[in-house]
Amino acid sequence: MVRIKKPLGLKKKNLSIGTRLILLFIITSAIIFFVNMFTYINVNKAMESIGGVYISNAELNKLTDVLSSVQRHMYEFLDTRSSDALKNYYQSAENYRNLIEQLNDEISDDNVKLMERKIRNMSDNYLDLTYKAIQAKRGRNVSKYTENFSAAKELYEYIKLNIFSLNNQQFKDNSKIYELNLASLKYIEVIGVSIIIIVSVINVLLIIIMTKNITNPLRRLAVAANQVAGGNFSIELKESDNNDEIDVVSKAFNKMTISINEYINQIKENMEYESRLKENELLMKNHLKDAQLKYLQAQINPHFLFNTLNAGVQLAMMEGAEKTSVFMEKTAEFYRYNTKKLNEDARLEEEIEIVHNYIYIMNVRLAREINFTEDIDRELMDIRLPSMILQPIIENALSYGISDIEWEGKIILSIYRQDDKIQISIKDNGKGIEEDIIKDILNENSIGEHQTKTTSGIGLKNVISRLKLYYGREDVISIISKGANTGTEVTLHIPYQEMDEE
Amino acid sequence: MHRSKKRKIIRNKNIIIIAIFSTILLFLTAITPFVFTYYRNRISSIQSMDYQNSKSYSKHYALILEDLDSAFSNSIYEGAKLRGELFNVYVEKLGEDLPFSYDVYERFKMAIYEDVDGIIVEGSGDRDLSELIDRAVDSGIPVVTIIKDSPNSKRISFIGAGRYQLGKTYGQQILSLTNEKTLNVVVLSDTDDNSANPDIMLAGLKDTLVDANVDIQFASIDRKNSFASEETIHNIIMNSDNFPDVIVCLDAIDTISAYQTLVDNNQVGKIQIIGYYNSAIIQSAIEKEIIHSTIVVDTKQIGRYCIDALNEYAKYNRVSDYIAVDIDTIGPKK
Repeated sequence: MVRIKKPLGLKKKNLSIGTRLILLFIITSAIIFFVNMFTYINVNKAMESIGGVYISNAELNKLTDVLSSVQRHMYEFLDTRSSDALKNYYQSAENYRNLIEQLNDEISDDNVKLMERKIRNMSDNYLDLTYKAIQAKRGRNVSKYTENFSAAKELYEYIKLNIFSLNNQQFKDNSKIYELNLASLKYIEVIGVSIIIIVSVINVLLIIIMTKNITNPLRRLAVAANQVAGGNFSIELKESDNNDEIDVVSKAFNKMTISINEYINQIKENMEYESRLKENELLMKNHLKDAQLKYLQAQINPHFLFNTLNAGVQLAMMEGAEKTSVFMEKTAEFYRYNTKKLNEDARLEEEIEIVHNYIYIMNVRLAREINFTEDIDRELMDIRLPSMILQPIIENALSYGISDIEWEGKIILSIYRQDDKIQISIKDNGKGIEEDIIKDILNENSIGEHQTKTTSGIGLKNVISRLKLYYGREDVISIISKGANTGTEVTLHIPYQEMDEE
Repeated sequence: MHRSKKRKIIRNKNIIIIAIFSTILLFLTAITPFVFTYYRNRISSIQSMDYQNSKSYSKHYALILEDLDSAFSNSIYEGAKLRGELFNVYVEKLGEDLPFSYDVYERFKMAIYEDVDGIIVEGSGDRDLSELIDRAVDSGIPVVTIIKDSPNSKRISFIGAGRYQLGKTYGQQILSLTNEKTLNVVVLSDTDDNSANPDIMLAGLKDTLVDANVDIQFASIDRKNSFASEETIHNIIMNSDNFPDVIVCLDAIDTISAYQTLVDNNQVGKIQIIGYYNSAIIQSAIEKEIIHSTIVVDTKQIGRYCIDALNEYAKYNRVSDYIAVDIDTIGPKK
């Protein structure tokens, strides 16, 4: 019993599913087998005892038979004096004596026992009488053997009657026992069948529960696998305590999700690294541009020229050449502005001032008045913008737009606010610019290659680059030319809001 | 975390269920053999109970009565049996268990062959019975006669009402019914009562009625013939020549037969019955005044005295020749 308890009991650690199933099968089968066997054995025993119920009746019948043979042989001997009959008589008398000695000798209030005693006593007397009759016959005492014979015959009938009566009595008792046994057999059957049914039901329940115990982890595994298939890699399968096949699979599954997770994390890291690299690259580009800007500014550093011109102003003043002195001074201012301001931004007013200087210088140089008109919103004078922006554009309009035309050239500078933008427009009525070149200029293509140096050493493309970098946007400039000899309008779109903040 | 806890609880629940079922299963499996063994033992103990519960005795007395199963016989038997229990003596009403009915003689012979330790027999004046009694006594079995005696036998004692006394009691009951008219009385007696005993009883009866205006006649009943008493009584009351005023019964069976015959023939009140022995029927008949009165011998006392007599004989080898029992009258309440 204890042996059965162990595998069935609380813990089934370290048992594989196969072993568990086999154990389950063996144990449940064994239990049903045992119960069946007990039922069978008991039913068998009950059958046996039913079979043995009437043994006592059979024994009594035997007693009657032997008694009859005693009587018969005695009669035969008395009749014929044959020695065979005598021998038979002794033999059967001996048999009979043996049989009756097994009968009860006690006085009892039990009917059967008392009858046995009566039969026994009567039989003793009977054997005595038959013996006496035989002896008398042998002694040829006719009257005595006749007397004994008739007494024996009478007693023989009484004994037979009593045996018959006892037989009846026993038959009655035995029938009761038989019925009892039969009933008990039915009870045993009912008990057995009930126990078998209960045991079977419990067995089935056990099998269901234990099978579920086996299949549930599988189901959980399937659910988890589906979740993984749906993209949820963080799921963790509960590992059971049993070291069975499912547990092995569960562990493998967990390992798999963990490594998938790790893999994904690695990919993420790689991607992050790459984006960081790109960022760096961009930063580098910026730095490069910055460097380029510094370089460009460095290219046009005019300290030497400025100092020289200042010396010229002093000289002209000493010589009393006033016009020359003014001219030299304006030129010096122009270059000083360049020197001073190229590294930082400037106020719009300063930019306009330098444009005025430039126009003056060019008027002197070209020995004619340049038709230059302004329309400026004075309120915008304080906004800041990168230095050396307006002058190169004006210079560009002067040198390329209206330098070689046959009609009178005009340059119009207008500054006004439109919504959140400040529009600075430089318009000329010169030759205009071809569309391809406009595109080239706007796209800053091959910066440095087509660099067209102006007086200040700053080309249009440089202006555009600096504006874009300064404001961090692309739409800072538009160039409009409606074809050859229709003039050009360069407009700077400077965000107002941002300037205000500064 | 929560989820795994829950799962653990479910798992534990499963384990508990499995454990419970397993325990039930094991319990059932374990008790099955015990249940069966216990049940089989119960059955076999029931079978042998009768055998084992039987009591054994040191002596076996046979009680041989004419009627095996009358209230009168049973009362004697009960008295004897109860008394016997005290002395470890088993009293058997012989012939009770036999498939056929045997008369007193044959039952008596059986008792001799069975080697009983004592015989109690309802005696009679019959010589065959006396011879059997002698044979039994000769082979060492003491015999006691009851109710009626076998005076010429070697019986060791007679236990019963004194016949003369009994006669006197009957006489007194008849006297109580006399008036100016001559009273016709029929006494139902046994045919084989050729012994002196009825005469003794008759002497008692006659001595009591010596001065009374009573005409006594005897109607004999053939005891060897079953149902004879009913026939005889029927004949008596249908005989218009000699219509009796009183019927005297010396026997319990006769008393009931007489009562029944009177009721059946619508003669209640015309004929008075003086009965013998008391039973529920007789008692109710007395209450309805169909039976005038009944003479009661203490039957249980007879039974008791038999055992005492046989025991005394076994001990001292002698006993009183006659042991009287009490006589009583149950009659109209006056």
